[in-house]
Amino acid sequence: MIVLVIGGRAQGKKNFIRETFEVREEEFDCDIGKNRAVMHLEKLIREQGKETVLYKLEERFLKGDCIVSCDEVGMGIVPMDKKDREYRDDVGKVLCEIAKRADEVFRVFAGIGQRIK
Amino acid sequence: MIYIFSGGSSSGKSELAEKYAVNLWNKSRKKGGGLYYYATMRVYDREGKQRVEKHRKRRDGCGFITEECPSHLNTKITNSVILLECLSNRLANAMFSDGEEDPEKVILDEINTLSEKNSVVIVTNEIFSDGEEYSPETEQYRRMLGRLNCVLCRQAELVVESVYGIPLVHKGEWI
Repeated sequence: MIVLVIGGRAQGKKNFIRETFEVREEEFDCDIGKNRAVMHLEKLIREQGKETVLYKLEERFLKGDCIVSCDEVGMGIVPMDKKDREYRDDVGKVLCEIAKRADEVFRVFAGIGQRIK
Repeated sequence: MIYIFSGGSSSGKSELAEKYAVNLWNKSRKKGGGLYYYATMRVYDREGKQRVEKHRKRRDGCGFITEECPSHLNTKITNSVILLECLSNRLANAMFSDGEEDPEKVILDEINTLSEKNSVVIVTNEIFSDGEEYSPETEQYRRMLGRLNCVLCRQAELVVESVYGIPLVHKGEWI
């Protein structure tokens, strides 16, 4: 099962994942590897780029259950800097792709997760 | 009738709004009317051109008649479904390149005139949650768009927030 968890910065996504899916501390990861939960996808997109992240996720999803957590970053004024603009667009595009693929999507607001898919 | 589609950058809001507009038109085709796409974006550079191309490609074959209206919205159309893409660009053009007086009122009047005789699907933008402080001009823009969103959402039949392609209905019923 593929689960996507999104929400603003510091909204309690990790805790929500821990409690809802009984994910243990050592099962969290900040990269796309074998672990059950991938945290801070927005940082991975910034560091590795959209294509690499999408490719790695595709591979990861084939291996089984995965929870992906990502900050929502596209809800502000469009930045002047082209790189910053592209970053926000890339995060949005990647999340659209994952949302399509995911079995469940949760949006966490102040620790409360709302299931939107 | 007014239908609002909002969301952050690359949240899939335009695609949802396009689908909704096409659907509305297919269900309610009226004589003398059409399915219109009001394009408000002014193209300044390659990035803008690419964005326009991307949108154009996606709506190709959907039957939209494109009206370029970066400044004023054509209010003479009747019996139609109009997709306004998007409110945030229309306002930014009015404030930052046309120096329009009282753009908030002008835009509201245009939309109200249109919505009396048409179904108007409006794409707008969530630009309110980055916790940053900007220049007074940008803050004024943000406040104005926020107010426009509030007023229009109050009048709207349907208010949808696109969350990465998933429609969250804040008001009304998705039909």
